[in-house]
Amino acid sequence: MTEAHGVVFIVDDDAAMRRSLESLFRSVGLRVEVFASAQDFLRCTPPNLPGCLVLDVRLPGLSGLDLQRRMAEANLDIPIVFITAHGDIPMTVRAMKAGAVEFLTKPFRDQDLLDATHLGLERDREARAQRAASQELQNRYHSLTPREREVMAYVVAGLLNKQIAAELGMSETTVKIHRHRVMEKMGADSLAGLVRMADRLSIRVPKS
Amino acid sequence: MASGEERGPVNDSGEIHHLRSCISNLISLQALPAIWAGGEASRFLSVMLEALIGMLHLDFAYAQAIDTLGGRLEMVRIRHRRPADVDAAKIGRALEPWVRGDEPPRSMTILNPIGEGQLSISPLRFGIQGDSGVLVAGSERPDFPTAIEMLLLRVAANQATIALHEAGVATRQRQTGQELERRVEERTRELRQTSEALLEAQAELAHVNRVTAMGQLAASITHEVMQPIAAGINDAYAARRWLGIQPPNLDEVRQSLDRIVQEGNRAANVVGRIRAMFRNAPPRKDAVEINEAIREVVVLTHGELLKNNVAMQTQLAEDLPCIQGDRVQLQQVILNLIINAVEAMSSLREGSRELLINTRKDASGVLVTVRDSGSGLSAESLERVFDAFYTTKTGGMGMGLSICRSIVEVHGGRIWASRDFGQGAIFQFTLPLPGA
Repeated sequence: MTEAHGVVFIVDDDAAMRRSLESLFRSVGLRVEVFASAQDFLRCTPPNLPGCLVLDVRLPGLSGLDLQRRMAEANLDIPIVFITAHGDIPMTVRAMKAGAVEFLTKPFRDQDLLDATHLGLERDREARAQRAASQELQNRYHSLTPREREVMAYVVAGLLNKQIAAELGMSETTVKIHRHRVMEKMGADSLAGLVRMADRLSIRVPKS
Repeated sequence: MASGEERGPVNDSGEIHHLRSCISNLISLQALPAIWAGGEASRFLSVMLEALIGMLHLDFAYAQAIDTLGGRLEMVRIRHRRPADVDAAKIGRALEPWVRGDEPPRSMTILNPIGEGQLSISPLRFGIQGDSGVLVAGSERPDFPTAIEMLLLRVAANQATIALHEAGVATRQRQTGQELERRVEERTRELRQTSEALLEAQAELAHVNRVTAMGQLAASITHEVMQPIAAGINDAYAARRWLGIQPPNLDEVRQSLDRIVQEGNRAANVVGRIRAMFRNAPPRKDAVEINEAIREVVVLTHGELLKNNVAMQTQLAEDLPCIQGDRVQLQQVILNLIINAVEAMSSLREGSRELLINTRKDASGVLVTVRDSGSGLSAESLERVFDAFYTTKTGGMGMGLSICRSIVEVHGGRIWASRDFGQGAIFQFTLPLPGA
C-alpha cells in the first residue's frame, strides 16, 4: 500500500523538524526519505515512484529555492511543497511561479501539509502516467518503417488513398496495405484516434 | 666685664686643667645635635639647659624659643631643683625687661628672681637673625660669665639655632609630605570615583550594544525559537494520528511525546539564552566553558548566518580548561565578532561567505579565533579598529569592537585583528586561565 501511495522526500536542516515530519507522514502510511541538505538530496537516486518533495526554504549551502532551480535545469520533475519559518511574499511568489505545489509557513496544520503533499503526489502520478503514455506512443511510432511513417503523415493530413498513391508514386493497393500496418502498429482503432496520436507526436503534414 | 684672662695670673697646671675641661665641655656641646637629631624643640632645649647647668655650674638657665609649629616655648632649669617645681612663665616675665631689647647687654646683674641676693645673668639671642629665641644663663658668682663661659654659651646658642632650624626644615618636610600624601589620597579617591562612574557607563554601553546586537538578530532568533515549536506541533499532530489508527501505535505515540518534551525544552533554552543576553546584570566571575558559550551564540546566530548565506564552521578544541569570567559578556564579544563578520561578507558573492570559529589552548590561556572571508581590513583599520567611534560601516556607531576590547581586557586577556593571507579578516582574543 505504501509503495502505491508514493514517497515523500523531506529536506530540512533541523533534525527535530525532520523527525517530526517523518513521523507525521509515516502515520498516514507514506514512505519517507529524509535529507539534511539540498546537496544530500541531489546525490540520492529517487525510487521510480510518484514522489513529493517537502522542502525547507532556508538551508545551509544550497537554499530551497536554489534546489528548485537546479531540479528544473536537470529536468528532475518532482512536485515541491515549501515549508519555511518566515516566508515573505516575494519568496512565495517566486516559488509558486516556478511551479511549487504549496508554500506553508511553520508552524502549519498537519492537514494542510498532508493535503498539499497528496496533491503533489497526485500530480507526479499523473505526470508519470502521461510520460509513460507518451513514451509508449513514441515506441510505437519508432516501430514504423520510413514508408509507413510517410503514409501515416498523409493519412492524418486527410488525404484519400488514391491521393496518397499519387503523391508517393505507388499503387493504391500498396497504400492500403501500409495504412493497415500503421493502424495496427500504432494501436489506433479509428482514423480519429490516429490523428490524436499524430498530434501528440507533433507529426507535420508533408509539403506536396 | 669679667673673663678668665683678666683674672690675674694662674699657675700653669691650673690653666691647663681649665683649658682641658673647657675643651671637653666644647666637645660635649658639639655633640648635642647628635642627641637631638629628629627630636622636638622642647626636647633639645631641655637637653641644652641641663648640659649648661652641669658643665658651667650655672645656678640658673632659661630658654625661650619659637618651636617648629610656631608656638612659644619657655623652659627654666635651676640647680638642685626639679623642673616641675619651677614656674617657667613667671621667670620669663621677670626676665622680660632684660631680654626684650634688640641688643641685650652681654651680661648684667639683677635681683635674683629665684632666691636671695644678686644674680649675674648673660642673655643671648639665637637664631640666624637672632629671632629664634633667647638663652639666659645665670650664676650667683659675681664674675659670671668668664670669657670661656661666654664662648661655651655662644656655642650652645649656635647649636640651638642649628637644631631649631633643622627641626623646622624636618617639620616642614614632614608637613609637605603629609600634605602631598593627603592630596594623592584625594586624587586617588577622585580617580576611583571617576573610574567607577566610567565602569558603570561602560557596562551600560555594553548592555546597549548587546541589546542592539540582539535586536539586529531578532528575525533570525525568532527562527531559532519557531523551529522547535513547529517541530513540536508536528509531533503532536503525528501523535494524534498514531493514536487514531486501528490499532493505535502506542510506541510511536510515546516517541512523539518524548520529542515534544525535547523540543519544548529546546525552545525554552533559546528563550533563556536570549533573556540572559538582554538582562543588565552586574558582571560575574564564574567558571566559563568557552566552547559551550560559543555554541550557544552559534545557535542564536544560526538563522542569521543562513539568511545571509554564510557557511559557518567551528573547530573547538576538546578538553579546554574553564576560564574565569562573565559568560554573557564573553558571549557578547563572540556575538559582535560574528555580526561584524557577516556584515563584512555581505558584499561578497553568495557561496564564498565563510566564517570559521576556532578555539585552542595556547601559552597565555585560551585562544579564540573568528576568521571571515570578507574584504579584510586596511592597514589603518587594523590599527584603529578597536578604537571607540572608529567605523568603516555606514550605519555603524564604532562601539562594538571597542566594547569587545574592554570586555576582553577586564577578563585579563588581549584582543587583536590581523589580515588573512588569502582574504578576509582574523579577529583573535586570548583569555588567561584562572591563577595564571
